[in-house]
Amino acid sequence: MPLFQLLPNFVTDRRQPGGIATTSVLPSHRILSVAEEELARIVLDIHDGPVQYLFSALSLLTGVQNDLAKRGASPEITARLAQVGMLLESSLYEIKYFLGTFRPPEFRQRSLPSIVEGLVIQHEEWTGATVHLEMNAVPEEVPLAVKIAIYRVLQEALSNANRHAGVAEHQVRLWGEPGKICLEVADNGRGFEPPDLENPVESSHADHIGLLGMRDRVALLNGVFRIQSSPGQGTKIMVTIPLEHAETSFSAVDEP
Amino acid sequence: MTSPSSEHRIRVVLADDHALVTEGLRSLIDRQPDMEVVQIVQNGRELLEFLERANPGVDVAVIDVQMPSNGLDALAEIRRRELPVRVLILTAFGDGESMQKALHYGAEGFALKTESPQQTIEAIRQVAQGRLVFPRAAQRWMMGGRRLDATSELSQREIEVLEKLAQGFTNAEIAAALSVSENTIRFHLKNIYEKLGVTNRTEAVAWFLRRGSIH
Repeated sequence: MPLFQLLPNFVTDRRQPGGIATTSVLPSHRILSVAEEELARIVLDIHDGPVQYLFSALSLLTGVQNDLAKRGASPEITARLAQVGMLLESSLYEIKYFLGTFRPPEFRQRSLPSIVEGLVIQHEEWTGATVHLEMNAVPEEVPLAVKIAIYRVLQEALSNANRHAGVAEHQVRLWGEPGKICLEVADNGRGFEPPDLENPVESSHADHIGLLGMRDRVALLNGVFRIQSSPGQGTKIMVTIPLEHAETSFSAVDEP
Repeated sequence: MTSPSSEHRIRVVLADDHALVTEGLRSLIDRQPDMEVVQIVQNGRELLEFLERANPGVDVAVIDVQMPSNGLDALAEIRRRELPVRVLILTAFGDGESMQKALHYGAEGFALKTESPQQTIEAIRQVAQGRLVFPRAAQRWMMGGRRLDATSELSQREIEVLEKLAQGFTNAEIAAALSVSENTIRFHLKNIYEKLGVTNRTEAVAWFLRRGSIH
């Protein structure tokens, strides 16, 4: 479900008496950080429980396998234990990607460039792709919600590029302009016909859910989200988010 | 098993508040011919106490990041006190931020609880041999931009020791100049040799002079 559907009241209730609300108290900003806090809790539960159990079980099993290898066991038992080991490893492998994807970085403590670098390292490590990262004039102080939006949009864009573009090189640019922050994620891959993101029926295709998610996050912060792509021509995702006086309005998504 | 460390077994401390994890790892480590668990601790404070007491009796400390009195804080303190032990960070979180932090705080290695424990064992072995054991992307990140060249594997302290060495200081003189013990200097030199792939101080100095000064 697109985020803004959860927040119908926030759309109209965007100005507070006496002027524009500060960025730190806007409901649209809060919803982004609350979502991240919930994710952090889920991630911690999985970390504290299943990961420790599985890792421990696999350690014990490997020890038993070592012993049996020395003593000699029946091929059937050896094969069964190997199978159990593989199942445990597969579970851990899946959890690894779940935790890595959903665990929020320390948005409050860390600067946006550092968070973006971390994400790029992770993407390169997981996919083997090369990311050309360029950052210029990124402001020191970036509102929490803007950090979150940039992080999650970049994550989705890189993931899409990896899954669909068919090329192992991606370009990421992050830069500051007066009063706003801009992000571009580009590849020279196979490209596609961008869907009409303003039409929920046509754009409800599973492949487009990610695009809608990106659009919604940016829209919550009164930013602009654009896709430039066509078959054979690569893809470029362009995001601009205002840093101050970010009103909660969705008019921005109508801009070209 | 033949390894450079086969003359003595690699002495390992496990620092993790998950008893299941330390129990599992211990059972695995104790089956290895070239390593043994000398202590299990459950938090950063206990770890530091033990390392101070055992100094220099531990080769590798395997530290869980999420244990009470945080693993990274313990690592920072180990470096501050210049305790001669190599550190392998063991964590469930393989995201970029976790790798960045482990590098930043000066760990020698990074292993994941979401990968086979056999890999943790291998990482202990490699860290004990003086290698940096990090995912490739993290190493690339560390080499590029952040720090200037291949000397990025050397810590600031190791660079200081190398500079003094190149000036012809003896171990005792370096120790006095840096206000640490000669033992600590010997530990730094061992690490420097291994990181540079050299076997003695002459080669290390030659390497240093070839490279020019390091900053």
